[in-house]
Amino acid sequence: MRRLVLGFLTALALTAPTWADTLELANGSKLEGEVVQRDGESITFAAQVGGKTYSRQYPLDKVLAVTVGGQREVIGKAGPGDAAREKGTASAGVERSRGEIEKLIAEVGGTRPDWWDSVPVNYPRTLDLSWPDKPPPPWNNQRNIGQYVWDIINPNPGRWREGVRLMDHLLSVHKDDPSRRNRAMREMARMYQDLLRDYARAAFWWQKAGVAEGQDYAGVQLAECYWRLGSKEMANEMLAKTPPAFTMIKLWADMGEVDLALEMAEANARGAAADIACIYAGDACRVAGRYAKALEYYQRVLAVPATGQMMRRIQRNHQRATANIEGIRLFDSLDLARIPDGKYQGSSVGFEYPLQVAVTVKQGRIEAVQVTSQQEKQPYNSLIETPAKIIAKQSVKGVDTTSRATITSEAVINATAKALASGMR
Amino acid sequence: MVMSRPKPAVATRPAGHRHRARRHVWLRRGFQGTALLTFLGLLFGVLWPYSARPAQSWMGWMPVEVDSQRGQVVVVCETPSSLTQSPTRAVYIVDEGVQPAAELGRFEVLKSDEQAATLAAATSLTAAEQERLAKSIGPWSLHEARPGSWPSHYADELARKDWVPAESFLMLDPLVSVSTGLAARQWGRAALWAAAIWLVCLWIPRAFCGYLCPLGTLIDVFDWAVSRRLPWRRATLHGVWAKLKFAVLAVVLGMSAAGLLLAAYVSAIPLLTRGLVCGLGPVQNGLLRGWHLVPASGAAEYAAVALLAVVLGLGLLRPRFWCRYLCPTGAVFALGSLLAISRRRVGENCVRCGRCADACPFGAIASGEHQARVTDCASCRTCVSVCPADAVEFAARWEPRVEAAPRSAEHGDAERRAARRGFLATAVSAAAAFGVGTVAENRKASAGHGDRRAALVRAPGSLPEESFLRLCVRCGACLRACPNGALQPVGIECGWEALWTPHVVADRAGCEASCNRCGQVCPTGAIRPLSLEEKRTVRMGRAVVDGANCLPHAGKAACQRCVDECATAGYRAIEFVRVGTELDAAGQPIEDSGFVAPVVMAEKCVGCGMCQSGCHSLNVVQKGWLGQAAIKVQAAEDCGAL
Repeated sequence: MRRLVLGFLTALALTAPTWADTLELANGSKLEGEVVQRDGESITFAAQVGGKTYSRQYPLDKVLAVTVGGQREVIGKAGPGDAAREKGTASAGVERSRGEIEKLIAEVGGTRPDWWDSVPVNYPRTLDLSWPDKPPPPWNNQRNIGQYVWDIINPNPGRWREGVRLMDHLLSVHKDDPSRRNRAMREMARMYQDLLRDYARAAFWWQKAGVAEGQDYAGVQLAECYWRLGSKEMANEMLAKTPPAFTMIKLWADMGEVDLALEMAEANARGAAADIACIYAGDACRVAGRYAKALEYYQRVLAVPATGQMMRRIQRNHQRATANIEGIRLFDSLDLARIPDGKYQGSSVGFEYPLQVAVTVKQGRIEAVQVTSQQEKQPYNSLIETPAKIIAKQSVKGVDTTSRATITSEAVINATAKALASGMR
Repeated sequence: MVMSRPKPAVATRPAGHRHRARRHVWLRRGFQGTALLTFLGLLFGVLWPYSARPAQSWMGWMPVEVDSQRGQVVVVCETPSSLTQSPTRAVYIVDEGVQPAAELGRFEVLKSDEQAATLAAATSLTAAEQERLAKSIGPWSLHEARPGSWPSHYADELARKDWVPAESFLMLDPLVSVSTGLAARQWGRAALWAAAIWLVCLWIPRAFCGYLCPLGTLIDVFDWAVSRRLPWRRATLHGVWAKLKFAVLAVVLGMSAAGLLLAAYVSAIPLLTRGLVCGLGPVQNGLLRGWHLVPASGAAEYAAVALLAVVLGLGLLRPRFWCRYLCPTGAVFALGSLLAISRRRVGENCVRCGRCADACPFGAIASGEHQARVTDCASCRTCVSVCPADAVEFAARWEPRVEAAPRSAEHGDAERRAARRGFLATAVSAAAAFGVGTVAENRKASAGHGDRRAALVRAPGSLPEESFLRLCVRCGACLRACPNGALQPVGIECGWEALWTPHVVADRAGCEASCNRCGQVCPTGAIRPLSLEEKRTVRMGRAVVDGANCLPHAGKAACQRCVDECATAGYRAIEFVRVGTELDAAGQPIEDSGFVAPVVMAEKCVGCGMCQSGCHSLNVVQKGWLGQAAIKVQAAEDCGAL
């Protein structure tokens, strides 16, 4: 026994100083081993994995931090989970000055995207291109432009580019009709922003449609473009010029302005969109870590009766609120140290159907979060982004959601929380 | 083949003569056994689709050693990976650490264990590729197939196993080729095949029946295992009954010439293949994959098995009853035997003991006689091995030999007269069959089943319906080759003409994008052999949404199963339309009202039926919301190339 302990200590004494270095990479992985060499561009690191040593050069811009002899040195910026992100300054990850953004909008915004020539102008021959302000009833998606966009362009990602081309076509059809041209510009901006996530071009067309002047509800959209392009300042300026609307709640929450978001939510919490206002407010509080407040807002969502025209929307928000309440109640009880190594399953309702995740825990760390089954309609990046964020944060708390795939992101977070809770000792 | 030299007298005959003949009998058994096993191997091994394995991917690898100049990397994986168990020797690397994920190229797996693998670039890397490799820190995913490429595992699997073509025995059945040639008016093909068969018969008369035919072997096995142990007396039929098969052949060919492929029902190899596919196929599936995956058999399957059972059961009356008296395939060979170079001859030392007549498995020697009917003798040499006087031998017909006289001149005359009558009867029945067949063929289109037949969705690459029915020999090889049983035999509901032909039952399964097996194994080209690229663009039908039934169209629930299935299959032929949008007081559409519902883009849809099987399994079987799938593949006018 004594010999064993002695041998162990000797081994420790021999290996400890040799393998003490760690290398943290920008993708969230961490290597143990030895820094072999370091120059202005790269670090050569001999990593020890599974009892073997592997050595390679890591470009400095891919290195987050290096720890030599217990001394941690932060070198680069990380992707998700970066300190700057946690403060909630710029969701897009980049920050740009006003001049840079204006230049970007002016230079890129007005140009045609590279896919332009490969997408034909394609619309039903029966479409009424005169585009009257009020389409004559009944609803006909083969005749009325707005209804065509609503029914056929919006639900089909494969047709989004066609939609932009159609609006461009309408711009030239109505070249002498400023009011219709303005409608086409706004619709094009909306498509660039909401469908294609091309914020520079969206901002260009919002500006061209006169939204930047202020006193326009679309100002929230333009503000979001500014923020996504990298300027919170310009976004705030724009929002200040915009008449209050409940759509601001979500943007402010995303921008990290929780108090402003809640203020706006309170202003709308009695109106027709009370469920939306409260769910956005709840989300804002949850991401900011104010769980008690979040629970309160989610409860208020449940208090909105699911009746009337908006029944389906309200029902969906009820579902989300319930799932989030469930998730939050788990958040606090979770303690990674009390979860044995293993793979745990959990599920939560996504947009329509349950979404399942498998969470791998190893030595008190969340090693992997895999979405094992889902039937989401438009998950965008949320199925990759959200697990990456959870791993980077090593927690389900304060993980922000992927824009426009909020429900899916939430489902991933809640399912992960359930999976972890199932493994707690 | 052992050919004994003719010898003038018994006394000089070497002692090993009968011995050699006995050895020959064993040789024949060996041939028969090998052929039957090969046949079964093709049917239950090569045609079995489920050894195919979709291309795999392995996630979560970190590059810990990168030699970008040499293109060699070492990757490690924290959780043990199955890569090392996989036979994969090359993978595509995708860098998941960048947005969007980037393909780094194809790499050979030099070495792998549970947690580490050494990979080397399959081709030398360009400077840009080297830089990307040097910069990439992972995580990487490794893929067997190029990401985004069409899957091909079912097609690849057949190509890998198909070194003896799965349809070999069906191709060897002369009646298949001759009758489909006649029916489909491919005269040249029919003549070519007939000539080829007869050329072979010159040397080896009716050898197919004695040495290769798996049905014959199976009948022999049945005879050995069952029939000969039964106590009752075997029926004795006069030799002239052996001519019956010529009448069957005549009717079959007459009908074929008229365009009705009667041969499909009675040809030996298709009959056997179909019986085994329908009878033992489900058993194999049940044992190896699980009984829940075996669909209930229908009338078509029972009929196919019953027909095979009857053919085997006839063996209870006499050994090889089917082969002797009925088999039209055998009749084709029998005709060929007339030209045979080699003949069975009985020397004058024959003691007329009659053992050869009793022993002859083909009944080629009339009871009490010693001469064999040329058309029936399969050169199996059983008679040589049992002859106590060593009087029997096989020799070229021009070699001189003193032969034993026929038992009586009278008898010979009777035989000849019977032969003449037989020939006349055969000719008459052929002509009658042609006449009847022509009438039936003309009525076929106007018969009540025409509409039902027109509604059948055929396999991809199937010829237009009329030609298809004239070429499809209903062998069932395609049914066997089809993964997940998307192809099923048509029952009697579409008329006799369509019985046992393959059609797509998309409620069960869709036609796999990675599979082109049915056309590859079709022995007659009724289903054209398509490359995988062609098959992806060939239309077999078109999906149609039933608006009154489809959940979102009917405003009942959200569902996008068909759209997902279509996208997964790679066609993306179904898109969404928003339906049931409600308007608010101001006439503005209400967000989230209504549903997005599926719309089939007719020009992109090939009719694979993945949508239908998805809808059926989810909404009919799993949830029980619908009585039938709300999207269905229907036969299309413009089937063929897109």
